[in-house]
Amino acid sequence: MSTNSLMTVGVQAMFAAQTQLSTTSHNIVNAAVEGYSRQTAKLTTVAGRSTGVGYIGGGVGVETIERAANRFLTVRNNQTQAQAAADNTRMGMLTQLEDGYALGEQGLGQAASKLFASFGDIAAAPKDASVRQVALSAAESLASRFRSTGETIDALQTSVSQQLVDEASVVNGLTGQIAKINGQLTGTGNATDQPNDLLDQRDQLIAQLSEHIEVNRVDNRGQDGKSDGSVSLFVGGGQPLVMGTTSHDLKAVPDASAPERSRLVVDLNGSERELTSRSIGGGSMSGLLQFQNEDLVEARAQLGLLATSLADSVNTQHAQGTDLDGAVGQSLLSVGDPKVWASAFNARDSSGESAAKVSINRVAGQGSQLQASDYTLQRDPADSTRYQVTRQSDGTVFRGLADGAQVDGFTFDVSGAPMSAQDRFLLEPVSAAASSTTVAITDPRQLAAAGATASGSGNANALLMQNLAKATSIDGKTFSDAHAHLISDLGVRVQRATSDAESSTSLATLNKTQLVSETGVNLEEEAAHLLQYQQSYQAAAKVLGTAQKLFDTMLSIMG
Amino acid sequence: MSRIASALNQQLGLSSLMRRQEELAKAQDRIVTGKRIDRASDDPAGAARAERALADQTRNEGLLRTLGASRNAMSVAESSIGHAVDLVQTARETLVEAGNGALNASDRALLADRLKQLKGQLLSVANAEDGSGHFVFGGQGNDHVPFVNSGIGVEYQGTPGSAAGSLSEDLPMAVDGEALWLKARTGNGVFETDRQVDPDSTAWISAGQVGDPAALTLTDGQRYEVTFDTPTRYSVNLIDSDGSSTPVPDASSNSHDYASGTPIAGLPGMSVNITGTAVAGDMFTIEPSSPGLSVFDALDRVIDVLGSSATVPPNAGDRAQAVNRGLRDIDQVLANLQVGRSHAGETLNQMDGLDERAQTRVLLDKGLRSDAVDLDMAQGVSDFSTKQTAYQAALQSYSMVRKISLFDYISN
Repeated sequence: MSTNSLMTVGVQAMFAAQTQLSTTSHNIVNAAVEGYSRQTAKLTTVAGRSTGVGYIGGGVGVETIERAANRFLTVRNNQTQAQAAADNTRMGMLTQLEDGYALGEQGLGQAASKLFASFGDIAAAPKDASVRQVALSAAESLASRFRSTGETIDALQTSVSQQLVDEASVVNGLTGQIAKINGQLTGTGNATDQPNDLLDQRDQLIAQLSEHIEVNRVDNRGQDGKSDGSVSLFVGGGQPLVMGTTSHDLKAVPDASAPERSRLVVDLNGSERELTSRSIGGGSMSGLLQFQNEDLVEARAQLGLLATSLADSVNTQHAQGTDLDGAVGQSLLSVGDPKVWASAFNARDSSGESAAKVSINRVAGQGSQLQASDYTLQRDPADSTRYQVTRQSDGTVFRGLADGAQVDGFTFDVSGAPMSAQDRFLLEPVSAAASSTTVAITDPRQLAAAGATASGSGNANALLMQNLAKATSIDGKTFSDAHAHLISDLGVRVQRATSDAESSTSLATLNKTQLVSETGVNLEEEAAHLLQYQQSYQAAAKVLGTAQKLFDTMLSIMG
Repeated sequence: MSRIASALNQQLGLSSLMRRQEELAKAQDRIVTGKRIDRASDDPAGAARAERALADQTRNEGLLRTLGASRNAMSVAESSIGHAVDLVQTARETLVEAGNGALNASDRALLADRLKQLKGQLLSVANAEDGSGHFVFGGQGNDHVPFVNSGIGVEYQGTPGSAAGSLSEDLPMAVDGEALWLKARTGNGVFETDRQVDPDSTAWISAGQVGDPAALTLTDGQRYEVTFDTPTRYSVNLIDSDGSSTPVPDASSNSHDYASGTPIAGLPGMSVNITGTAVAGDMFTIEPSSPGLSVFDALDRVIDVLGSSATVPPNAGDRAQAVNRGLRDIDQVLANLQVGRSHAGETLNQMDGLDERAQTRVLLDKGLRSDAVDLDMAQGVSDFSTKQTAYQAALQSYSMVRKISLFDYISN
């Protein structure tokens, strides 16, 4: 045993302790960095050399610096975070939607009740100008509530589309960075020394990405069949966002069948691959799409139905009466026109429009037949001269319809080129109606309170208008029932979304806690390590000191 | 042993503190607003219940307003009819006075003037307003004066029928003025007598009475004609709606000697007198009563006779017939007004019950809505203090745990 080797052992030990101290310090200072994984200097015993008296140990060495990682928990963490982000985003949007529906005195139901009641007041004093003015104001207040709720819905649609565009650009930024890191990591798959901080960074980017859109992670393999260190990421149904060092852009574009809505596509070198909203498992974008395609569509249709059916019953009754000047009652409430959207995939004419054209009309006086739904129109597969309409809310199919046929209180007319088998039209008889509700008359004298045969100041029609409060003119319900139903429906929806968000958030938190209990930094532990490694360092220094003293002793003997 | 990652632990601790704080703020908000349901998702079923209750409440409040207006209109109608009854009574007394054969022409003219005044007063009562510009006897279209005195008498300008204030409840906003003022039953209410006589004849026919209701055979479209073949003998025939004439009771016994002031013989179920000196050719008719008697026309007829300035003045028979017929008509008018008055009174009575019902309903709805939406204050406060305690405890433990660290014990 030479002093030299003793010195070597001491120096090595000091180096090892120093590495440990550095690693611990690294852990301590990075404790609050999101996605940082605890690192450990892995020590190894330097194998002894055989001597005459046996194997003498060669001291300690640093093998590598390891990162605490758990592949399984990381994947699960990303999944649960994605689900929580989807649920929370949807809940947030639903809460905003709910804000658009006031309750009680401020609500739509009360506005309608007041309009009906105001006709009762007119009945009691048909020629009283102030009572008529009150009724007109009640109608205006009802119309403005329809508008404001309708505008809330429209604004949310705009917001969803904008958020999807914004998030897509965030996603593209993240996938770009991941592809870049992939480049730096390629070839490190099997190396003993892993670039821990770079791996952390990529894991963190993937985690961030998962909050926007859930991805499947696949480790790329090199020619030797072993992991080459880079990863590929796929979204819904297997569209690639990251392939090794290449990233593909995610884009939010107008929906092919309903241009007001947005959908997501992956741009694969110029060809757009559609991501159906169902195939996107989680992430805030999934929550936005679900909100857009389910909650918002239904809310628009339900509100639109209230507005159109009410306007139809009010206008139909109003037309039965006579106003103060002896004229037949005009329309009192005006709502937005029905809309038709031709699919982007329809056969085109020379001007680039859909070659076949479709228009729809609500049938006056048939407002009670209308349903809270949009519809799809296509050629009847069984008969090319006829058409097929599908009610989207429940999937009911109306087959063998002739041009001009009536479905659920509206009629459709087909013109232009004959419809091809692939052509699709989205029909919105009621959905777009509420946000442009207005009062169509301005002069209180035009309120037709009198019956058709009575002189201008009779009240027979005012009584019938008042009685509309009890008429089951909205899909078999009175207005106040239909409104109460809508309110509770929305409330249940928000409640369910809230509880979904709560449970997925707590699951995500649980998973995150599990993951970071393996990978995260505990400062107490690091403090203990600091003490321990300091002692190791001091002990190693003592070894060195001892070697020094041995050397001095040797020198003094020799001297 | 599971490792606690310091950063996440800190973060979770903080976020649970924030959640506690938010819950506390919500509990406070509930106390401040006094509402348990602020948005539909707080309690969807409760919110729907509250919406329905509010709709019902608004409907009943509307009913109460209509009821107020109707009560006002009916009160005015009731008192107006009362006033009209007084006026018609006075007219009746005047007529009785006019029946005195000793009066001279100027006396009669004076009475005719009095009747004219009474008619004018009745007209203004018939055009009574309810205080908010509506004519209570205006029927369905009550925006202009319903009764107008034109050259040919008082005419009704409104739309017949009464104006309802509600489809579900009996809340009239106006009385059917035409029925009340212009549609009393003619004659004595069962049949109507009339005469077509020679100018020299003083014979007149009484209003008559029903002797035996079961024996009455006269039906709508038929009439009895009592014809004087000579001044002392008359015959009775039934004229059918097709104009055919049948002797009453039969050909052998339809002719009778006339005695002034005695009942016409052979009329089944009725007793009608002819009084005065008849002339051959005088004819008297008896036909079923019809609802077409105008109070104004009745007065006009008497006024015309009493105040006549014709060159050949009405004789005593004409006057007696006019006065007698006037009294008969006024009795019918009075009966009709009384019916209208009691109908208005009955409607007012029923309104009290309806008022109470609607008020109860409004209270019930308010209660329902309050039960659904309002916060039970005691519960709210206890909820708040529970949450406050929890928040305090969380804050305290959080800050205490944060204070302990191994680093504090490392000294270099």
